[in-house]
Amino acid sequence: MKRKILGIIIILALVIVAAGCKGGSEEKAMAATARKYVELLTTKQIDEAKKLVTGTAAIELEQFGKALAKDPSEVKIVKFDGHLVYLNRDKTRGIYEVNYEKSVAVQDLGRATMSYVGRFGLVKLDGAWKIYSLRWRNADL
Amino acid sequence: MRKLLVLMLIVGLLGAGCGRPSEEKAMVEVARAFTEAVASKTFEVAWPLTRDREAATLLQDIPMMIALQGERKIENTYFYVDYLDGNRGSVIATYTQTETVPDVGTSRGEFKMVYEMKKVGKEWKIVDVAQLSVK
Repeated sequence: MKRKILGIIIILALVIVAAGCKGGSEEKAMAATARKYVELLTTKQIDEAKKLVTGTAAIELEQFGKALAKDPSEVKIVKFDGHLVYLNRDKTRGIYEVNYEKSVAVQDLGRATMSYVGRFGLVKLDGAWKIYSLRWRNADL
Repeated sequence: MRKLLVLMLIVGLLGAGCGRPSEEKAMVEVARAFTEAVASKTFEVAWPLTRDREAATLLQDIPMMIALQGERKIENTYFYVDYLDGNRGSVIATYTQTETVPDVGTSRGEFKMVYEMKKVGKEWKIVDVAQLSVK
């Protein structure tokens, strides 16, 4: 009886660890997608950025993408740290939040550093993570 | 003693699942009521179902929605809870929307939406809405 209970506990523990591991790899993939998207926007590669979005994020990028492409400011990513807020049960959708700091140089005006918190909604489509929602807020508020 | 421990483990596991079906039902009801209220432009019904970001967004968008949104009909609706952890969760909704705008025409499309929600007191509120895919 004791061995059976111990066996069940070990199996349960392995299942829990395995579930966590899968979550870890998905989190990394989500983080990579979020980072890539921001990098593409800072370098104004709008057409490439469009490949990483769907849903509301795609609609919004379509609306502001042209204006962004014409933005003369030069942007550098200073900091991009994130964490998984949650992943749904079948690991196909989740929220990833980042602390993002960028340095912006505007011609004749100098350079400024800005901090934001970005909340990325990501969904897994055909094996790849795509951003369906992106909400930014000022990190200082 | 062993029997008691096993019994406690079983009760604990069952307890973790209890209450979940009623929470999921409540979340779906809120999401459904909100979707139908926005479609029928009964914003006085939609507004109390929101909080935080979505409340602010709705407040901002209502005048435009009243002016520009045509007659909307939603059908083939399906709502389900995609995530639930304590006082936070999300509902996915799929539906077919037909919109008729005077002098413009009629459009029909399939929508898949996600409603981020949080429990405020005893009630679930929608804090953010996003379209999950574009078709």
